[in-house]
Amino acid sequence: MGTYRLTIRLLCWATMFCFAVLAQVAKPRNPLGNGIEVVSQGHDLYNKSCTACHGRDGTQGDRAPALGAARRYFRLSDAAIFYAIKNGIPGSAMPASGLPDDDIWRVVAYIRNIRSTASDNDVPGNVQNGMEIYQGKGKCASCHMIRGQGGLIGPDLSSIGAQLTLAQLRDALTKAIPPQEGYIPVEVTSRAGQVIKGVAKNEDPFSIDLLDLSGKLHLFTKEELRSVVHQPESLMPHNLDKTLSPTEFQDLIAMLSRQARTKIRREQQGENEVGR
Amino acid sequence: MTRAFGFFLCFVATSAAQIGEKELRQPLSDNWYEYNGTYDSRRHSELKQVNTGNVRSLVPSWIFHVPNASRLQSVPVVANGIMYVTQENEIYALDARTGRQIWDYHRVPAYQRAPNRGVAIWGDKVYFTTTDNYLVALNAVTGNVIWESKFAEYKDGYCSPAAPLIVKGKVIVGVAFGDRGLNGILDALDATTGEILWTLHTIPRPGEPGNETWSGDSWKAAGGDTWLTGSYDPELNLLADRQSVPRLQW
Repeated sequence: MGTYRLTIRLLCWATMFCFAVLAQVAKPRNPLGNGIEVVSQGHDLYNKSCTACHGRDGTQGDRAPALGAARRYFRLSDAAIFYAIKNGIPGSAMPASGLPDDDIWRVVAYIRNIRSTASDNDVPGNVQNGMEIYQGKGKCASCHMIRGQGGLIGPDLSSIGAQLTLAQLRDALTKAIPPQEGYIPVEVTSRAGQVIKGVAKNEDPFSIDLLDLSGKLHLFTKEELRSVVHQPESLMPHNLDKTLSPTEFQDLIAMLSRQARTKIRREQQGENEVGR
Repeated sequence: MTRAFGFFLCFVATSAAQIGEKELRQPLSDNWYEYNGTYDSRRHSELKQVNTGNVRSLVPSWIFHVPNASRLQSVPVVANGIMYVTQENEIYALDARTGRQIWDYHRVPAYQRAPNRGVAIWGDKVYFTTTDNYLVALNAVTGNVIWESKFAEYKDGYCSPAAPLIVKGKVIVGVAFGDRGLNGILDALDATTGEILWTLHTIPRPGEPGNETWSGDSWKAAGGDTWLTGSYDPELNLLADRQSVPRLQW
């Protein structure tokens, strides 16, 4: 009887040890999923537990950065965010949270939700055809680059699916959006009368860096110029839903939503590996 | 107006001032094209504006604070009015006249810490190595990443602090590993594609000339880091690279 009990006890210990080892080794994804209820619970927990330092609803706080705004994120996978909340971040003011694991997963689901981008959706459409539209009929590649191929005058789109939400991606192709900094169209006239068109990569009261339409960068001081005229509208055409057929437009959206360097890094951090 | 602008844009090919063999071979003027200034590594500028008569009255023209700088070992490289300054996993492209930032590049996540000593420049691209041993090629004007190519494994203990050297369309890169028991390599990658073209083992492996001078398995962890940028003689087509002293690890 005594031997039987000892065996059971040893087996229990061995099982617990295995789970403990697996918990250390496996890089988990969120075992609670990312449903609306989990996200909502995570939202409540976040606003109770995290806002002493971080701001409410993912905004910037007095002592810690925003977790949901458009910025560079260092922790991208469920696992990386989970471990940061559970254990804190060494060398920073971020402490171990002390929350139960399931509550941490709820907060993880909330943080991932407010960061959700187009690449988190399985956007329907023919991706290969979308790339052909991008390079051909859509004329996107004359200004934009994807993984080293294409033009320089517009923003690099290699990770656009991880930068914009699906709605923002559609809006970028169909609505007039003011040009973002670094892409403001400008026309300058030199003292000698030479006119150069391009986008202002940088500008202050004393100087302007102008990337002209041939891809050459001009570094001007304002005193070298007779005039600097800004164009209020972006160079980006915003009628692609009209110039492309509905199928072509959807294929283009599907292709762009999958351009996500960040997603590759998330996988490097253990995204989509099974375990807990 | 905007429509006309967009129309014009579609039919203009991109071009930018290219850095080629001629630029890399010429004596230094108002550019500093590579880590050592010139292929012969003289690190001497022939500009005359600063001289013994006026050096005492020099004042700062501009200052750029590299964010979160901890151990700056970068030699600023200057080409076409743009100055490229690096620290580990980061590049800052500055307007050399004003010090204002034109673009920056940050590699995230940045595995392990190690210094970085600068960029190389060729054609319309700048090249630099990361602490996890990727050679990254970026457009020199906008900072767009064109490609990245891994040439050593950081998990083994390698990092790559030296500025790359461009030789005839090849990017020469090396590794460092402190006192870990590893062997050095010197790699040449295609400047256009990032493909690894050849690898030199600084400690010869079995079957390579010189391995017989190492007794037994002593060659296996003998050092020979390629931790600084080399020099090149175009006349003799000879690459001179320095490496750390081979030493047995225990």
